[in-house]
Amino acid sequence: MQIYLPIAELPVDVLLVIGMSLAVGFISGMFGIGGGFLMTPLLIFIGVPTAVAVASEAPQIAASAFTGALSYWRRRALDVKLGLVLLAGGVTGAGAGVWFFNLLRAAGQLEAVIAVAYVALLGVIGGLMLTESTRALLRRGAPQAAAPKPRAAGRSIIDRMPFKLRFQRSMLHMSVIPLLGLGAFVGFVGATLGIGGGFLLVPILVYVFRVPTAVVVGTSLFQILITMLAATVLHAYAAASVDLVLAALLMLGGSIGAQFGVRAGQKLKGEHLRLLLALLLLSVGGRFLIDLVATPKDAYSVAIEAKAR
Amino acid sequence: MTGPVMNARAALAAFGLAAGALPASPAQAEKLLLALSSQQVTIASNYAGGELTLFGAARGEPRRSGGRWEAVVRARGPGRTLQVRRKERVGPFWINGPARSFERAPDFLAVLSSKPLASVAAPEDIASEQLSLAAAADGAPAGGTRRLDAAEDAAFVTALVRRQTQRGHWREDGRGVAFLDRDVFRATIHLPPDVAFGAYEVEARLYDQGRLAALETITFRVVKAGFEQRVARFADRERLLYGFGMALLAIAFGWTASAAFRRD
Repeated sequence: MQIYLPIAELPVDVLLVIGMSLAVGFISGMFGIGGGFLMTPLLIFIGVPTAVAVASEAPQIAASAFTGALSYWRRRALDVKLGLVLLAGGVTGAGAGVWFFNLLRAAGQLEAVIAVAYVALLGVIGGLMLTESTRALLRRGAPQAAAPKPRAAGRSIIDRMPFKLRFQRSMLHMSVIPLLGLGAFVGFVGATLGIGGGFLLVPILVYVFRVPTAVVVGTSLFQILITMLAATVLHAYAAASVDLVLAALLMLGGSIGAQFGVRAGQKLKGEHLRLLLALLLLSVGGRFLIDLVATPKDAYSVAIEAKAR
Repeated sequence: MTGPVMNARAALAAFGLAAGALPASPAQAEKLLLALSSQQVTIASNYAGGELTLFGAARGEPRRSGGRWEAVVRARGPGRTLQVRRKERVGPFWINGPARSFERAPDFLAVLSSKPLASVAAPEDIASEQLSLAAAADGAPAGGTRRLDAAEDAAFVTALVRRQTQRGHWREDGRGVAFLDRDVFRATIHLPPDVAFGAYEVEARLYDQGRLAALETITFRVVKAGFEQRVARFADRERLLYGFGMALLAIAFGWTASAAFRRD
């Protein structure tokens, strides 16, 4: 069944789009990531123009994140305070990211830098998570408390930083400066690469700041929700590129998929969840790497220069 | 479907009447009369590509070719800037390298003829009138990252024709025009699903043994239907309101899904 998208200006298969958004929504709810890095390539593959794909995913990611965040909120696994501190940093970082994005575009090498950065990020984070979660799984015979918190040298510097806050849900008492820095970094990378940055935020909060995995997922969803709501308004305002019909289809599938994803995520052990996410990141990264390295079938491509909307 | 296919027969009937009503032209001058199955293609929510039928009638006598006309029909969509890019190997990676843009080139182009183009019109006419796809690509003003030499430029022209044909946006068909009798022909124009909006121009040329005997033009428009049009217009004119509306819709969807699936 085909339906015509008024802003993307092409027909798509309704069931295909809903199926894709169900799957991505499931993954999003399960891991607390936005899923934009999965959805964008899928939409572009079925012919949706990149700008419309990215802009119409923003409300869908927001919808999935909201459903997911509500579930975690009810389970008391969402740290609003931590989320707000991260967001404060994120806004600054996103501003810098947009500036850097335009700098690269002016230099004419935007696509190459983005593609390589994508592969590197997905590869490094996926690889690190894979090693860690495998190790954790192998250690599982030992009691939970026996897993020592390794105190890196940097840790003591962080401990001595001023402006300490207590984050009860996250069982954290620390200075806001590194958290603001983390938010800014994720915001910067997200704005440059056009992603929400959930897959960066989750592992860093888990491994560097030792926040419990369940709280990290809830908090990350909260942060994604706010970021994507802002992105929706910004995309609509700057380029009128949010497609109502496409976004509605994506939201329908995404918010239902996220429900099942959250439930599946709660049933799994933290290290299993991390292992699965690691494999997902590595396979998507691998897919991008193949695109970048393999000899293209046709070296030439045609693009219609965007008309001024 | 308020589709373009609908009333080809009705159009032909009306066309027959109009043709008959026309005052008789001087015996020598050839004339060409054209009619399209619809003047406007409306894109509604169920649009998935469409087709239009062009009817043409010749008046006058083919003088050279022993009583046979040949016809070439060219349909062109609104002009766009089409950019062709070529990937090149940089270290281990394939990265977009040189680009050449074709300015005011049609995103939609169909060249239909009653016999393969080369046997209907002379090569120099095909080039100067931009009758073939290659000639149309070649004739579009160039723009790009740097100056290309002739051989490279030709490669980009070929690539544009190839890629546009693969997308179903350009088409050259040497059997696309069918003569129903000596004077009346029919051609079907296939529109792709991701059709561009705006004014389309259909030019029909009548050939008498390689000599251009008559040339006539007819136009049609591709427009969005009510709902699609209103959404696109609102998104464009009331951007902030539309943006906040979409954000609210996202919240509503998320909340509904959460409420619907809540177990307790």
